[in-house]
Amino acid sequence: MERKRKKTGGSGSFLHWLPFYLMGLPGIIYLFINNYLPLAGLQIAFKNFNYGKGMWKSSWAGFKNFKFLFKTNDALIMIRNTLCYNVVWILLGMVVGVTAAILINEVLSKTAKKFYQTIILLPYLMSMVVIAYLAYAYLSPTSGLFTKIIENITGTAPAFYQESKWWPFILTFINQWRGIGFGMILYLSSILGIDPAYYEAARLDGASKWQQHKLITIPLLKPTIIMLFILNLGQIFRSDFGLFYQVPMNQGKLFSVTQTIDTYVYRALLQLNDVGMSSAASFIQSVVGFLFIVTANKIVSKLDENSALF
Amino acid sequence: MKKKLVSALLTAAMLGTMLAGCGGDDGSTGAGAAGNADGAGSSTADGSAGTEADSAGNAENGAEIDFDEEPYEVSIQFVGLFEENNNVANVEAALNEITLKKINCTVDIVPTFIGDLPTNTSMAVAGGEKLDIVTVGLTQKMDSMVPDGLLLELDDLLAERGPAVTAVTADVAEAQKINGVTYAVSGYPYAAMGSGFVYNKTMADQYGIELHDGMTMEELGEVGETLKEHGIYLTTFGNSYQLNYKFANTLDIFGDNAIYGGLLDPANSTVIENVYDSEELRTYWKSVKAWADAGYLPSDQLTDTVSTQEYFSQQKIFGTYTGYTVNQIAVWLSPDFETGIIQVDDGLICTGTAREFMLGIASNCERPDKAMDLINLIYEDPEVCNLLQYGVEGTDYAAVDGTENVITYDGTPNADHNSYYAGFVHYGDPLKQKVIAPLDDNYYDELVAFEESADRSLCFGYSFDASDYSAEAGAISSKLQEMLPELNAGMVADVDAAVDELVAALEDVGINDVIAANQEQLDAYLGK
Repeated sequence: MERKRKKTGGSGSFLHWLPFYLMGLPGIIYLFINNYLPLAGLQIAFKNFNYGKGMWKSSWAGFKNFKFLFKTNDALIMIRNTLCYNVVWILLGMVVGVTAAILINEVLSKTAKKFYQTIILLPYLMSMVVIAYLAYAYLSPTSGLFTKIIENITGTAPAFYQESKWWPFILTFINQWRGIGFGMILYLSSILGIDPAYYEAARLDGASKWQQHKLITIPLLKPTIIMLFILNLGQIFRSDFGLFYQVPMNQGKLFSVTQTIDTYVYRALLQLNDVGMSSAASFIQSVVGFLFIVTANKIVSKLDENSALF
Repeated sequence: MKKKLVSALLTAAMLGTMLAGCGGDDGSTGAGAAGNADGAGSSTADGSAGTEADSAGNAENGAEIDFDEEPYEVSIQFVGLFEENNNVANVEAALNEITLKKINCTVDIVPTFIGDLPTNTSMAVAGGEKLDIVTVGLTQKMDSMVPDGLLLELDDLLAERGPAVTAVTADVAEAQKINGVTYAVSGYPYAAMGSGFVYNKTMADQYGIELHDGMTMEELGEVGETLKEHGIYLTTFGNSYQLNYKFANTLDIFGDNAIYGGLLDPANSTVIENVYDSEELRTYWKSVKAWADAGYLPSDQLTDTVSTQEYFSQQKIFGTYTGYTVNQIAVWLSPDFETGIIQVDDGLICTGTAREFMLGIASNCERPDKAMDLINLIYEDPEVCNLLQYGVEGTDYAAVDGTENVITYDGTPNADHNSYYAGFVHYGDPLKQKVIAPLDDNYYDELVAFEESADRSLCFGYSFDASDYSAEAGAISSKLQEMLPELNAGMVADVDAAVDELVAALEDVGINDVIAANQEQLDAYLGK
């Protein structure tokens, strides 16, 4: 019997799972081509890259390509901006996304629910250039809607594009407005997977809506929240280039609150076109993101092993 | 088993990575040694020209052409505003009739959007795509293309197959070299460039405004006052972090927004200074601020995304500072109004201007000999250079009656530049090229006279090797983008304070170290 199982392929054998491997092969190939093959390119960050010689034959440069990132006092500003915006937005996005998902889930009419979902998701599909012009329509120094309203009320027109104090709020608003739809979909899909019997039982026990969400929805959303949190931490050293470059209209006066690692790399290398230096910046971003993911996952696994990603 | 499968896949993936090469070469292209001394020589020697019994001599270019071999197709970048070009096939056909007979090759014109030029070139070389003749200058500078290994050395090829090129570009030969090696040839060897002010002549006539060469900013300010009464802005500077044309062409700034310093009096001094700390620039910015305060400039310049060119063509501004050459006006022509230009500062010949429009051979070029044959033919044959520059007569342009070499786009399908239109490149000998109206047949004499009248920078031919200062250069560039636009637009509260702040910031990121290194290299260059 034992011999027969080995020959024909039991549930533990390679032959048994072969069809599934074959089904997964296209995905595996895609993953390797897009995610693993480019890893060899990490060496460009440490080389004097020469297109004629290619990646492998270019000479080594040590850490020379990394120097420009830390050459100015702006290094602290851009790292501060990148990290602080991301921390606030990850936390805020979590709260706003979960809240929106719960509220949408409470809408009874299917048509209304789809309508609201579409409306909320729409900004996510917009190009950042379009969003920049939308913002400009409200904030323009000569014809902006908000500028005019504030001018009529206070007698003074705020110079949004010349004063940095507004931009942490403007960028945060635009980021959340744009991202709320996508975050909401992820949380909503998890909420829809919660067994209605839990809510029924809670209602029979006299639980209010707030209690139902506090004691059922949020605890059952916890794995999704933690997973998205950890994955978002991987991007904590990166920023949305369009948001920080296009929306503030590339205004030098706003750099103290809009300069991030990505915008600095673009500005510093605009004229140099140095692929080694840009690779070095990306290398650091990836390493820091990787460390954040591993650390966060370790902490989560200590607190609740089942919620950890790996 | 699963582990074995995974390890097999990993091995295959890593092998694939290594074989993918990312631009690596093994000399299979015949140009593998680009960037070192062996490159061009070996490539040229590999060419079959001159070795076959049936080869025919080309009396004019001095090279042997093998007409028995299969014609090689030479691909040449054609930089413009679009990735497509409507009449390229007809231009290629017209060119091929000549090139097949003279150098036994065909021509493949590769339209390239100017914004994608550096990316397209580097990706083509890295990926081993077919690319023979590349545009050097514009948005991809020779200084960075050489260390990036994108260009082939040309000295041997020029000696063997490029007599026409050598003759036409003799005066700017030094600017075509880096460390004594030629990497590109000038597409516009009349390199004198001054600063000018281009303006709407129709508007000037309408409001009784008269402009003359050498106008100062104060005098232009008076024009601004007249225009203000009619609701027209004098000019706009936009959200620019570039040193304005008023200065960019009268100083020798080594082609890079003066991030390595510059020569304030290039015809008489070789002392490199921080241009941004000069009295001249302070005075200029104070004049710009006076214009802004007086309302001669749009108040929302810094956030307005409409370009100066668009403002000018829409007649919302009267004019703008621009580079000045004899044919510069052609860039600013409009079907809606007459254009005029005045020269506000003398011309200067420096390395940067000589390197603005160049042709080079890509380091992955399969047949550098054929590429050089075509380059030489472009300089030698007026028909070839005019076909490449202007396209086919009758379709892309029309001759102006009563002139010998003057053409116009008006009245042709190319009136709105939708057909074959080379807006960013120059091909061949300018004295063999046709000219666009309102330039006339006197253009050629004026061009030579302007070149002769221009000062020549004492460090002509020199370029700074900034490879050890790329970190500083990046930081300086970033600082300029942060602080220069407001000064350029005249929108600072106090010019002196803003300049002091800018200079302090630039010094903080090491501009003085860069300038010292630049001076050391220049002194060594001049001492040779």
